[in-house]
Amino acid sequence: MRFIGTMASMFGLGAVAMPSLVRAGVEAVESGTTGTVADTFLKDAPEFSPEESANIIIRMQRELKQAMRKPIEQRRWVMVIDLRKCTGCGACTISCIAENHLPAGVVYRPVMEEEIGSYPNVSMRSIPRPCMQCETAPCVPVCPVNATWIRKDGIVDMDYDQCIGCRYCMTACPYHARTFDFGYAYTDGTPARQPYEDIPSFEYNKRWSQRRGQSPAGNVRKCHFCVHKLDAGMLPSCVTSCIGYATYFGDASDPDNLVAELISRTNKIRLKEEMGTRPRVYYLI
Amino acid sequence: MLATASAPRLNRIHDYRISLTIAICALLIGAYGVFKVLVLKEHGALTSYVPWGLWVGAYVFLVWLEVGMIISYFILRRYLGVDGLRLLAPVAMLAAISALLGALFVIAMDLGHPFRFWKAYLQPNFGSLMSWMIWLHTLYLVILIAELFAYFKGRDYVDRWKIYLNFLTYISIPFGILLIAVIGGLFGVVAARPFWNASVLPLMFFIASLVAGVGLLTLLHLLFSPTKGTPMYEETAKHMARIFMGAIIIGVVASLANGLVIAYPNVPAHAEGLKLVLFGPYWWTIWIVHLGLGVVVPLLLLTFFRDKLIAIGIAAAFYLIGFTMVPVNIIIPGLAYPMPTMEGVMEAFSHPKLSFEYTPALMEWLVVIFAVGISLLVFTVGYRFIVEPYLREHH
Repeated sequence: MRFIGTMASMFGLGAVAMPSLVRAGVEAVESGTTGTVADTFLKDAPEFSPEESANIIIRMQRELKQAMRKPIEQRRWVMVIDLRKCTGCGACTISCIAENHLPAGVVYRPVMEEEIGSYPNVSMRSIPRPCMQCETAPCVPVCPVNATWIRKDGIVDMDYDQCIGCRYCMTACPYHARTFDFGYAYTDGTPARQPYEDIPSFEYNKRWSQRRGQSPAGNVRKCHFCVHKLDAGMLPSCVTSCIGYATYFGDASDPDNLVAELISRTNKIRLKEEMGTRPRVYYLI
Repeated sequence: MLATASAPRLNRIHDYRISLTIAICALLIGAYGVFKVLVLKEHGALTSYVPWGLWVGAYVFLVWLEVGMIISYFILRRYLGVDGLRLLAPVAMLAAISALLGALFVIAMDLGHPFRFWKAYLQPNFGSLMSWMIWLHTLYLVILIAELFAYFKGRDYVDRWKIYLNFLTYISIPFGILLIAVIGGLFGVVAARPFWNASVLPLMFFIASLVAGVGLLTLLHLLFSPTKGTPMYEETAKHMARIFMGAIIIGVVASLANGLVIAYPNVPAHAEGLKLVLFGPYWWTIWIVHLGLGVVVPLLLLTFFRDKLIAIGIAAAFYLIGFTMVPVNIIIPGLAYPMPTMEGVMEAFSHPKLSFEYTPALMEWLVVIFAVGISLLVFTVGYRFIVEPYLREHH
């Protein structure tokens, strides 16, 4: 029962209470009452017993919390996606949309379907495609106004207020991982805009409106490993929502961490490795 | 107005009232597109997978035209000794300035946040070729305006202004070449787009720019040369026709060589863009508009009617119309297909803006019409009130 309760609080924290927590954290940072969102929430992040830590999600949560105690330049965030486990259910896509309040036409983590072979010898696999957070990201140097850069922990960051919307970064990304926010709403063409479309998002630890003409509308957008959640000591939404535990996340700089173990295997690949972009997203095949 | 009853037929076309009327109509019609961009914040038919389209194509076309014209004018005058073009200098500079302004406008409209355009000037990242493009474009514009100013002043203070003019002319050439190379490089360095990356685009852009520039210069000579009615006018036009014909052939050979380099290895990622150009849904833009109207017709006219000025004029006009298809057939096909290993991305999540299919929307055309209206208006007013009175007075 205790385990179930812990799991419920974990998922509840990620799926329901988190936006309000982050919002409160952002407000605290904006009002100058605290240094960072992480300062506010890391102390509140749950502690787990050794038995509970046997669960993968809980283990990753624990490792994340340990990593957050290190200086940012010593963290090396890595995502590992086990394609053998991915069922292609799209829960990660949807939870990402819900977490980041993505408008119509913007997607951070589509799940591609690949058909292999031909009848009668045919099989299929699903390939989730978040931003690869490349170590040598081709999208970064092309930005004419320095609106995108690589953080010290390796996440490719963005400043929506700086982005002029030229879309050069979109042409430079070999993974089609950047989408443009055209300012569309799900209720376009319906009698009334619904209140949920006006709920702000908290990407990059800032409050963003959802109005056409205001950032992030008119900007390029991309997956950021839920950096606002990370800074609050929580796992990205796609990780906690995966029904098959197919997505792993953590700090690969610690050899004892789960992701460090996983990416040391021989069955790992990275997409378009020949381009030399050195993605931080690995796939297990 | 330069038009007189005794002037050749083409001479009447540049009646500024006609030009002004066309410019104002273009601005009025195009205003709706600009309203949609600036007020309604719409971006036409562009998608997240085809993020650049007609507007970027129009920008490249206008820059090709004006830089190519200035460089070809310089080469023809200084190295090939085409003296009949001497008095065309202020017209060419004014045309270049007009085209640059139109180009700058259309590329600003392409931004998701057009009112943040200033950031590209004040907070640039010079590691990005786009920053170089914007800065070079603006500097080049300033140089041309200063050059035109020095040209007009040159008569009154011959020595000092002539030195300025010479200096500005000589620095405008490397700046122009650099601008074209940077724009070509802006596409060519994108390793993620094999169709662009497989070509030597900076060089291709330079050749395309020169060819288009010679075409525009020929047309400008026929329409606006102050030597009209003199034997030199006709002689220069025929001389230009021969050079123009050579330029068209060089352009075709260069494109063919480039296409073969892309197609011959048969690497699907590289060849896919070329297949789209040649056999895709918009095949007619390259075969009929560009190669048919823009290359074959001008070549036939220049071969069989090279002594007739009207034929030379039509050949140049057709060439320029056909040439509009070149930048769009480089830019859009480079984006309009998924990258290798990412083939399933379009089906992975459905939305009209997550598509590799792109057809320019009406509002995109309207914005381009508005930009052309700006260029035409600047040229018409500049010609009527600055260039033409000057030429009338001094020549």
